[in-house]
Amino acid sequence: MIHLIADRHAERALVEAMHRCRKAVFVDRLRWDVPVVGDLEIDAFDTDDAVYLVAAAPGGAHLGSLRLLPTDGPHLLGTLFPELCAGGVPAGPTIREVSRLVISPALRAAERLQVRRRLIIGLAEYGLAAGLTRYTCMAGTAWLSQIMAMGWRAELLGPPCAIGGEAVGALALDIDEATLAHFQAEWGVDAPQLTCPLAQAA
Amino acid sequence: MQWSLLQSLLTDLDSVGTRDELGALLDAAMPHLGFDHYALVHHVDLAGLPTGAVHLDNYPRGWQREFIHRRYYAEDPVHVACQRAARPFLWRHLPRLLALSREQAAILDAARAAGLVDGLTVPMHVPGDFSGSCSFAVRAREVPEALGPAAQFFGCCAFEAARRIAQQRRGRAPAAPALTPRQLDCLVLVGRGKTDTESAILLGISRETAQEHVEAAKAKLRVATRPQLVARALFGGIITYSDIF
Repeated sequence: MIHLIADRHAERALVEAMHRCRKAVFVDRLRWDVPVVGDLEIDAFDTDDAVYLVAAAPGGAHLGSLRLLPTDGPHLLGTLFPELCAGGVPAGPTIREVSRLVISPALRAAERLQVRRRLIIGLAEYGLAAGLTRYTCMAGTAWLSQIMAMGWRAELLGPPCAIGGEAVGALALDIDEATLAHFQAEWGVDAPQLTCPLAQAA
Repeated sequence: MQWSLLQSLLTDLDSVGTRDELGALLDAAMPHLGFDHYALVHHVDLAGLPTGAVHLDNYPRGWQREFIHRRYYAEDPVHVACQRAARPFLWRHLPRLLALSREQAAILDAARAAGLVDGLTVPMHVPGDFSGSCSFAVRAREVPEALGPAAQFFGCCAFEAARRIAQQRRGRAPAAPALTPRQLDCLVLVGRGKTDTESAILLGISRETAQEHVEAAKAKLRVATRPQLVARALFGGIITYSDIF
């Protein structure tokens, strides 16, 4: 099940588990230079404006998650890396920025793949339910090749740069019914993944 | 590299429909990217390429023959480094990524002698598919670090185009058969070298049940032996090295 968390104070245990997982992956494994509070990775963009999609086990354990930021407020591309967008940073009420996609390292490869797919389907469902047109995100080569292989229509927004020793570029992903249908058919998933999207998405 | 040029190369990639068109586009792109040679490959047995797998390069002819004939790909240090590295790397940094065996050092020397002096490799790990890589090489001098980002992104997109074309020929990719959680448990334990009796104790099931799970996994993945089972599961991304070690 993919939970839509629009109020980070509401599902406190799950949100905290997400921040702990982000610390374990981004800081301990990938050695990102990002702020840490104890064993939690929390940065300046984890504010009340952030919305999270969280994959949770039936018992409530965190399996994977991602963060969505409005692009008409502070966000990674707009605030920190505008140089990655040659024609200006895409911004507006129908565009959200995706960041901090993480899958629990405690899971096995086959389970990680399932969680990743369900999160991506949840992401497409959320975009449609909330009336969004595009997602923007930053991507290194690993994430770029996965996005391409998923069959998500992606546009590179500007020249990729070396950030932290890695090539990083800005991407825009189109949100439409056809993309969601493609994921569902390709991955054999028919059931909606997002819990009550319409009630909370708007 | 100019942004407008990279943009137009990426647009061209979207519209290539055949292996020959992709090869021609890569040939034309190399000088702009600052490289002489390219290789897009899935890390599989190149002497008997499975359908749907990618293998497209413009390496010097003699080297292509030698590489396949001598089966260098089986221990090619570039391929081995790809299994361990998520990030792109320069060939001259290979000794930092793995302890090169004498055979592997000899492969690098032979490549240099054949005109592949230095290179940049982007590992391609798409879950559920063979792992692979995209490499760009130069005939003389070292690859300047500044060439990195544009070439890496172009490489990712070119590899995806190659994958798309290779899979057209195969038709739709067959879905990896789903294993039950218990079959997966037993498969991982086989990979860790456990016998059915040991697996049974670890999982709290009978030896017969453990054996049945392994046999069912073998049947689903259509392999005859346990080593094949582990190899097939690693190839298909059903398990990863970190599950086993």
